[in-house]
Amino acid sequence: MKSLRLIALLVACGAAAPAYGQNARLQLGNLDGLLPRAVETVDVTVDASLIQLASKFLSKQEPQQVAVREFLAGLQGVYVKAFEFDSDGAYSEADLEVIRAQLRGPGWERIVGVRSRRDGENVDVYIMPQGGNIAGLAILVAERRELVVVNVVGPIDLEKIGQIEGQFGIPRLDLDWSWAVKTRRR
Amino acid sequence: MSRLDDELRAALGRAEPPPDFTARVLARVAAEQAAATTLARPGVTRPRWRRALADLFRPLAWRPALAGALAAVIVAAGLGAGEYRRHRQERAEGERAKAQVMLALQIASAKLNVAQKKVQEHHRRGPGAKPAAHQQSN
Repeated sequence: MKSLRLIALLVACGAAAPAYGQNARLQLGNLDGLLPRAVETVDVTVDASLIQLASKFLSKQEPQQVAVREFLAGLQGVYVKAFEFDSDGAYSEADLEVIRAQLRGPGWERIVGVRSRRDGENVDVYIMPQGGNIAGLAILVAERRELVVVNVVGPIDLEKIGQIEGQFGIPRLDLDWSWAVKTRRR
Repeated sequence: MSRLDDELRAALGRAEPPPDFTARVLARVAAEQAAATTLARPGVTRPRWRRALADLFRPLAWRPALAGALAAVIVAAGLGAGEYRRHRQERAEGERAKAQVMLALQIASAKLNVAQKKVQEHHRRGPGAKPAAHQQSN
C-alpha cells in the first residue's frame, strides 16, 4: 500500500513538473478569428525543435550569430501573432481579454503597462520570473489598427538579450531587466 | 504443254536418296560429337573462329554479376539522391526556421522598444516614477 502511495506521489510530481515549465506558453488560438479582418498578418510559431534546427544554421564562428545561437539555446518557443487592420475597431476587448486572463494567472508579472488615450496605444510587457532568470516573456501591443502578441518561452538569459541587441535588425534597447527580477526576488 | 508437264514432274518428283545417305549422316554426326569432346578437354586449343565467338559471348556468362553491379549502382545512386534531397529539405527547413526566429525576435524587440520609449516619455514628464509601475499617458 505504501509503495502504491509512493508511486502515485511520483506520478503526480512527474505530471506537475512539465506543467510548471509550460506555464509561460500562452494560448493564442482565439486570435485566429481575426485573420479574415486583417490586411496584414504575421504568425510565427517556433517551438523547441524548430529553434534547435534554426540554431544549426547559425554560424559557430561569427560573433553575432554565436550570440543569437547562445540566446536561443535555452528557449523552448517563440510565438508571435501580429495583425494590422485597415479600420478601427476590427478587434474587440473580448479578444484581448482571453490573453490578459492568462497573463493574470500565477507566475506572470506585468513590468510595463502603457495606456495612451491620445494615441490609442496600449503596451503591456509581462515576465514570468523564475530563479535568477525569466521563464517567459509576453508582450501585448494593442493599437487602434494593430494588435501584436509576442510570447517567448524561456528560460531567457537576461545577459544574453543584451548580446543580440543591435544585430540582425534587432533594435538596441539598452533595457535593464535586472531590476524586474530583483523586484520579484524580494 | 505435255513437255512442260514432263519437266515439272521430273523436277518435283520423289527421288530416293542414295543407298549410303544414312551412313554418311551418322558418320558426320559422330565426327561432330568427337570434335566437341576433344575441344572440351583441357590443353586442347580451339579454332580461332570459335575463340572469337566465345569471346563475343563471354559477357553473357557474367550477366548475373553485371546485373548485380548495375543494381548496386542504381541503389547507391538512389540512396545518394535521397540523401541529397533530404539534406536539401532539411537545409530549407532550417533556413525557414532561422528566418522565423529572427522575425519573431525582431518583432519582440521592436515592441519592447515601443514599450521602453513610452516609459521613457513618462519618466521625462514625471521623473522619479518606478519603471515597473503601470504607466498611463494621455
